[in-house]
Amino acid sequence: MKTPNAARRHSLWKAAAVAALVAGAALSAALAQAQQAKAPIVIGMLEDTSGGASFYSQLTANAVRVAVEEVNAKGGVLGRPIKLLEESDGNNPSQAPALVSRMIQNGAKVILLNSGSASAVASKKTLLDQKVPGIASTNIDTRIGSPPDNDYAFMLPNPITDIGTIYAAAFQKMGVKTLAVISDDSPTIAGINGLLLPKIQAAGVTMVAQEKAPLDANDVTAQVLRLKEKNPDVVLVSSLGGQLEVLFENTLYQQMRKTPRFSLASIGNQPATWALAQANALDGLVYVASVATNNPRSATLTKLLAAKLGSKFKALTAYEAQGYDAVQIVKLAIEKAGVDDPILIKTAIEHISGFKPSFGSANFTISFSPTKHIGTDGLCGLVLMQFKGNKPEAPWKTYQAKCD
Amino acid sequence: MPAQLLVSIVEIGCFFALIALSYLIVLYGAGFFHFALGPYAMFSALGAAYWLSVDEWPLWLACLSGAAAATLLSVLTELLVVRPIEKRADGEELPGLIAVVAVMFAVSQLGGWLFGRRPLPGQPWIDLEEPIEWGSAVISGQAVATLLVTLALFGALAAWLRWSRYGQWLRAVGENQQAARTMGFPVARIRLVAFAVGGLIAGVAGPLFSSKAGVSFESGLSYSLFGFIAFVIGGTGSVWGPLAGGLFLAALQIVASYVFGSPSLNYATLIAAVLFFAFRPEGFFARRVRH
Repeated sequence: MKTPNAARRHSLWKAAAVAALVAGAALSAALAQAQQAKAPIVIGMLEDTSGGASFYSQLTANAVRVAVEEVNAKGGVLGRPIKLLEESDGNNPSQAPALVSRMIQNGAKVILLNSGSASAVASKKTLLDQKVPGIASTNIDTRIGSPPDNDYAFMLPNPITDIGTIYAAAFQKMGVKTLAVISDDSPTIAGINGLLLPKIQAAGVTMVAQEKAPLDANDVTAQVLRLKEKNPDVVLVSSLGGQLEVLFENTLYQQMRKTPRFSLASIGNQPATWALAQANALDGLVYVASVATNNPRSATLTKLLAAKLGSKFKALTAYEAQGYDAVQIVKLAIEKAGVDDPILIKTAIEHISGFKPSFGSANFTISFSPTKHIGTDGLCGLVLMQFKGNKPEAPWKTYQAKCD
Repeated sequence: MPAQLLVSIVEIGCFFALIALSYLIVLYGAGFFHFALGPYAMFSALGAAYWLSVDEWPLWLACLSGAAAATLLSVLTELLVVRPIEKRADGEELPGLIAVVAVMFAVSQLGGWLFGRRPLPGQPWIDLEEPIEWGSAVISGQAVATLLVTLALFGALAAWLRWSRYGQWLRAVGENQQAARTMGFPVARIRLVAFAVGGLIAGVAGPLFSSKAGVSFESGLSYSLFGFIAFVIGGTGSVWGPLAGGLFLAALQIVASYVFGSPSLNYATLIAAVLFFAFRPEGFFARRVRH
């Protein structure tokens, strides 16, 4: 039998042990919380380092890295640094869902979709299944931000249907009756053509010829001569850009010099490719740009990228501006959400309104809502530019979209 | 048919012909189908494009370095891969062929690793201020350069095979290595020369052609395929066979694309390959067998 003193001592030991346990637990919880507080917030980036989309994907990726570095230098988000995970699908949409899943398994709370549009479309279902938001920074396929399965998919730039709208209006103003189209055979461009061309045809323009060439084509003379035989009023080049678009433009310049040429957003936003064209081969070409001279944020970003990227930076393009803006939107959403929970971040993105991006004209804004996952507010994110001396020279004088 | 198509046929045909010629030289000297020659052409073109655009080397130095790299790769393939494997396989060809297929992929990846995985542009060897107008066709300086270099290489190879000691030995070794060894020919050295010359031709062809459509680390596989089909069509009976095969294949591809649209290019290539394999495997120029 224990004496009262011994029993008291025993109780004291028990109390001390419990207190130590509680203190230990509290300490480890606090430590864990402190660690959590400093643990990086992971963002995934799907890109293309080697395929047909690499010409623009890497411009975007460079700007994303600069934006992440800038955010981290200023203290991160919620006091935590951003860690960027990168995966390349080589512009192969069949690989994209697995790579997106892999980044999510490795802790990504948001995915930036910077490969081809077809990869972004292919990733929508995965984002929905895993309940992690994805933002297509530069992809223009309208299907990315549209139903079905778009609950977790957002897009930043004006969709291809907007480009169709302004080209339809431009062709009407020019009195264009017939159009010939030459494209690459990538899944991304197949999807884009399916949305773009009906818009232009609905404006009364007849498509008299449509030719395709493989991404690794060595020669497109036969295709261009087939277009030439139909004597179209204008030619539209619909491609991912890069070397193949240069081959298209060189051959069109050689064979159809007098026919006005139009392009999508690719070649005009890829400064490295301009030098690959034959002398004057790009002159007169009209393309869809997204950087306006009157946007002060574009000028600020130009200075930042020039300082950070050095000789890698040639000129500010839509791809860089949109990559940079995508990171700012993610930062804003995480701050609004207050935590790095993907579902809450998705809800926060849906409540971003009136965001002023680095691309588009000065008064152009981006807003999302639960029913609007394509961020652009109007057509002011698009500017039609024209080449001279194998460089974009000035806004096209014949037509520009009206900015409300 | 528009005259412009003829210009394209000559440009592409010459490239296919040069790759086919490099196949022929290795076959003559080593009795071996050297499928890695396409990736060597890619490696040379990608290296030259990288040195030109990134390191800003002069054109001649970049192209010369690319051709030297391709030659070295070809020699190393013989020394480190084909020869040891054939030795272990007791002269069996299949293990060596499989190893060379592996080399194709290894060289492609090596090119991507060293020079980047993004396509790079080539530069024209003759840059005319104004292209030459020939009827309704327009001929670029590079088209002229491609034709001249191709004819010069074919002419030089034909003369070398006919009049040089090594050129004459080359055929003897390719036809029967055992007999050549018995007769005292330096078989190992002759094989090495064949691999080196094959690599050199592919190494010149790559930068020559890349100014037309650029080059990426994945280009080598299609170079190998089209070069091989041109080689089969041309046959092994004459050093000019690959030129005939290359021009025939290019004509088929370009005319099919023009008449039936671009998807027909691959069908035309496939049909040509099947028809020649099935009905005329010896190609246009059959090899005469000495009795």
